[in-house]
Amino acid sequence: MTAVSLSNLRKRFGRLTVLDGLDLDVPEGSIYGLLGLNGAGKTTLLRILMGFLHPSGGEGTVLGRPLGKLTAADRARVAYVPDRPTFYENMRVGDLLRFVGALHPRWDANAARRFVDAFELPLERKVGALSTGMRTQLGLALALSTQPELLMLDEPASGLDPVHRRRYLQVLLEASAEPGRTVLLTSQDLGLVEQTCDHFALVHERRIQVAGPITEILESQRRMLVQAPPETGDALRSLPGVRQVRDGSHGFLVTGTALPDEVRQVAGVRAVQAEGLSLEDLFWSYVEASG
Amino acid sequence: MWIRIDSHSGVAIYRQIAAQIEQAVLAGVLESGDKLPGVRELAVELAVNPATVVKAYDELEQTGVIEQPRGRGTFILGRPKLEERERRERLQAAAARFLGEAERLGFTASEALRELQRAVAGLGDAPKADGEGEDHDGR
Repeated sequence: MTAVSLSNLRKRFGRLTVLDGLDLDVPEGSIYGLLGLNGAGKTTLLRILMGFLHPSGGEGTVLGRPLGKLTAADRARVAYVPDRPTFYENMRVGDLLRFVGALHPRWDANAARRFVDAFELPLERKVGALSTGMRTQLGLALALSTQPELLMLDEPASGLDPVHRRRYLQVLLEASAEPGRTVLLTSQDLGLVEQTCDHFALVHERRIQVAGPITEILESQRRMLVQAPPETGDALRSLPGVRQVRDGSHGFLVTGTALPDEVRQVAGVRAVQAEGLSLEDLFWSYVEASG
Repeated sequence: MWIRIDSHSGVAIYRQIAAQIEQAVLAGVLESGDKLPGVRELAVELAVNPATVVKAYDELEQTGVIEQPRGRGTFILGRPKLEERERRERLQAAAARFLGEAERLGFTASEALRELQRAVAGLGDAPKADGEGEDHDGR
């Protein structure tokens, strides 16, 4: 089962094409990280999924319903926390919880109390007087209290200090284990995605460059320090499975799915040392390789 | 637990978890019969995806470090039983990491090798090592 499925999605704003031919499958129950540079279209994508924006082309489903045909009841099964959530600033935290709770059909007041306790949010304080970290935590607490089947988070935990960040991720991970719950998040923080997500997709140049289970993808690729004379560069670049070749101090830094033994076969190569990739290495190898 | 995650190291997070539990067994910090935290508990504590902990535990089970009797939890069995090939591969991987680090620091392979020989001789950080003529060093 997929929580989100998109095929050949396109989004234009006037003359600007933000997404073009984007395919995405988010498995139900996964914690899925969307990576991409600023302006890559990650937020646009989430807003299309929420029904705030209409795609210019392509099709897709959210929780099994066709995109753009989500009813109010469907939407109640989806929660979205923007990068900087806006609240009623003059309400006290406790009043805001009661207010949202009265409006939302799936609100779980016991869960809300648990999240407020977990984050130690002050119920008597006005929302406008909360710290940045507390606002971010309040946004998550409100979203989780609606028991969403699909939770979408735009840049979660950004701007949190290490203590608040850890607590935030712990609460998120604990709540994500709920059966049937899918989390789709965007992040610039590659470490956060590698740590908390099981799947990821890299959005770059208007489409998905690579997507799938994080561990499998990282283990199918490697970075190799290749000792070889400068004129070997072109041969290395044209080797199947090589995505990026950078000049290093003692030779080349080669990234891709190619195996060390395949690289050793290239004429001129004297030595190859392979090492694992972090998600950050992988990210840069795609973004830099495409210029 | 005392497990530390470095998400920039290039080592898969499940490997980091498995390696640190294995090291704790080798060091005698964890002993046969000790109970490890459940998957969800450890995932939340480390703030990592639960599938990562499942994968780490599965790898430890395969090498005989832990057992996971269904529904009863996760227990330490003993030191890892690695096949000869696996032991060799791990040593090679460690060597590649060492040489890679040396290269990044701007040392040549032979300088790195000399440093390794010094470490073997127990003179790892003695600056005047060359002159002091221990048995294993300085020909």
